[in-house]
Amino acid sequence: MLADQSLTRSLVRLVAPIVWRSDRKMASKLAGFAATEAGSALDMLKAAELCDDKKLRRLFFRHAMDEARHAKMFRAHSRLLGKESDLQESEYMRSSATRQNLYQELGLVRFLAFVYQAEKRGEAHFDSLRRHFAGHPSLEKLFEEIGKDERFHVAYSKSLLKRLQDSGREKEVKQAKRSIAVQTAWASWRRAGKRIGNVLSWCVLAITYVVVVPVFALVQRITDRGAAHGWQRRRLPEGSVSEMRRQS
Amino acid sequence: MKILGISAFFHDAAAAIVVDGVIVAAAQEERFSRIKQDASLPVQAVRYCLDEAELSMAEIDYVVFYEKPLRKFERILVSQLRAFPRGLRQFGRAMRTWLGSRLWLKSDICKELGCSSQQLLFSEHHLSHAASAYLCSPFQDAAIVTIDGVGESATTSVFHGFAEEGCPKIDLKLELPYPHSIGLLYSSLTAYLGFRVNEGEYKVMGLSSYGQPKYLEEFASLASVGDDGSLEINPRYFSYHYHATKSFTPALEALLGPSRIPGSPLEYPSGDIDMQRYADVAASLQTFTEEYLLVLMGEAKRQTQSNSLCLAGGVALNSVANRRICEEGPFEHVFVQPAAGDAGGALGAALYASCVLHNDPRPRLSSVALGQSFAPASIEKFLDDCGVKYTKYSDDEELADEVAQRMSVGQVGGWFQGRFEWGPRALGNRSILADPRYASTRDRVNRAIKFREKFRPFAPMVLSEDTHLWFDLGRNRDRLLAPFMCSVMPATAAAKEKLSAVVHVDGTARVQVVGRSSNPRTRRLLQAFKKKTGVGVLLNTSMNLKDEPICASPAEAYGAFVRSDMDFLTLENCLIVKDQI
Repeated sequence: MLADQSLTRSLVRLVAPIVWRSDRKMASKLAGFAATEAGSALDMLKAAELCDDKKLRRLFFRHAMDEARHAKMFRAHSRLLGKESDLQESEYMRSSATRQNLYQELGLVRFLAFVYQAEKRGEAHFDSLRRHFAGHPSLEKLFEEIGKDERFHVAYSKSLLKRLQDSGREKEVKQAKRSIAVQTAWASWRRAGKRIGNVLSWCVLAITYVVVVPVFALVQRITDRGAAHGWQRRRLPEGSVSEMRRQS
Repeated sequence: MKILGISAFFHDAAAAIVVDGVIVAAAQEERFSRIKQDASLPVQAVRYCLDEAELSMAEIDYVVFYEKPLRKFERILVSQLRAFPRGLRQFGRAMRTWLGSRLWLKSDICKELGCSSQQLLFSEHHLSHAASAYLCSPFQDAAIVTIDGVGESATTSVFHGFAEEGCPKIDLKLELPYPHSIGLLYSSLTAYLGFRVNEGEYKVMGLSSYGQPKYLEEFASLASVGDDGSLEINPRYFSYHYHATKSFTPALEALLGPSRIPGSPLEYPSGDIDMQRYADVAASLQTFTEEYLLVLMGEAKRQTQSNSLCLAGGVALNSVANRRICEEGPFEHVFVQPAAGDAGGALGAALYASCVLHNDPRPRLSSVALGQSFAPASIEKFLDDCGVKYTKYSDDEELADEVAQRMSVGQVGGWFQGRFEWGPRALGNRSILADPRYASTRDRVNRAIKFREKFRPFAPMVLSEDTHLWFDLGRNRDRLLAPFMCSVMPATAAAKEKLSAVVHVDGTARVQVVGRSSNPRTRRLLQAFKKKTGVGVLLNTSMNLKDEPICASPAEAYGAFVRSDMDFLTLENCLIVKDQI
């Protein structure tokens, strides 16, 4: 985990000068953060809605409200930095939020492990950005303020995991942490794999298109009586179960 | 019979369950997944429908998919061969989609939904649309016109719905083949105007009111309309049949001027030449579509000799065109299925198997409240557990009075009641409501609550007995459409003067008439507002933020509430006020 955090910090240090190089880029990145935080807010709200435990519900709810507030803060700063035309272009990013339904998919323990690890990464990320923007009139304070909340999220998720561990579910918690770490890595690999797969399938299909399809296209062109136009009359097949079993 | 209908894999996936001819539940997948117009297999919507009907998948007689996938695949292949060698990118995209998943759709559906292949049936795309409109309508004999982008291969169909020995029958009269599609023409121009296809069409309709139809001559060269209501697209201007991402060619830009960059500013009224041109193009498109639809309706009348018309398919959501069809078309009665888009196909597929195949009684669609509801006790527990301050009202009158009072002083709030609506419109169950009297309210809702373009209008909901005071009912042929906000009405002079937040720049409004038998709590609110202000009308917009689906659960409603500038939120009988949380 520590290695993970220091890697995050190093990466941010390395790329921040490029990624955050202009007001326009900053506005765009902040709009992206706003969308992510808004999405997290929806996930945390769903978790609050679905879980039964009163204490957990309240914590998830508070977390959701924090994320919603962060989204608003990021959006407000993005508006300050962006040009009007850019603002319009990324309005979708600014206001949209996608829920990943994590609580339903992961279950309580793995969800908590996910929140803990994601918040830990987030804390490291925002802390690095706070350092990067040291002296900036608004962004240093923004990342500092949000960083405080992130620390609270890390702390509460950690203590909830500990409470579960202490209640005799140590093995389950350890497994959940491992599985989330593996799942995160696996998701990254799958994303990369998907990209590679896309390129490969694209190549295969492109070759098919220039080598195989021309033959069929030629045959089609010779036999084609032209695309139909104007009204067509067709009798619907007899409405029956056996006919409706057919996909064609 | 217990029939489950599903639509998926294009846009707006949905599920609907019909038990012995009664529509028990219907919902779009987006409401559960929170992905706008989610096209994936509607697993969560199916789960909800089964729960609502208290049935397991094993108890379902048939699961009906809304179209014939292999027929669609055949059309794509032929279209690709015709377009060779221009369609490389679309070929790649289509083949990846089809070879990767859609060809295995039958086994995927069975695996994901837990049904057997014996349970699974396939309807036809336009037949599903037709069934969704006709079988829900009050008509015994009707012309049914279905118009959308494209189904398997047809883009527009004319059916005749009638009863034979007490059994409903649907007979196909005519169909127009791909790529000759008014729906795709509208979508291509939507893209030309810089809006997202399948979503921005409403915006084009709103934009059209700011322009004049100056480009009708140019539109005549984009597509020709036959006297028989057929349509022929000029392929020179369109590329949707071979291009993966762009649906129009440079020739269209040469004809109408450069296309709008998505996201670039649109402010009206405007002195900017380009902005005015976009509005004029939108106006021309809207007029062209309306004129075409009127010719098409004439042909539908000739083919069926029926006095009644049922409309479905995405184009049937064009409420401005619907008004003209009602007022100028040849039919005495008109019905539009409120979820006229692809989501409605799920309902139609189920109804076709239920009512036509198995002779179950036909349902009557008197309300679109077919989605999930939440018990007031569970809402209170949620709010208590989360430490949210709220006021509980045990008397509906008191709640209505309080909310009406808040709106009358300019506050804007969420109104969450009962089951969520079926279809794209919020009709008082998941709505954001406001005072319709001030244009500043409209601007505030656009800017700080919905985060959407300034030029877009808001719809009013009105007490049925007051409708004539504010809106011109005309020949009143759209009375079946009015409860579902499927048609526009011209505003009266009084409305133009007093309801500036809901009367569009062209002097019309997309009205929802709230009748005596529908939605009692919302009606009570309208009455309370009328008592305070003398106006039995409210501004009504769906409870969602820009580009998000309409909220389904109380937590989602609360999420939208805190992320926007809404002043209050009503969750059933609990009132939450922003400055008290």
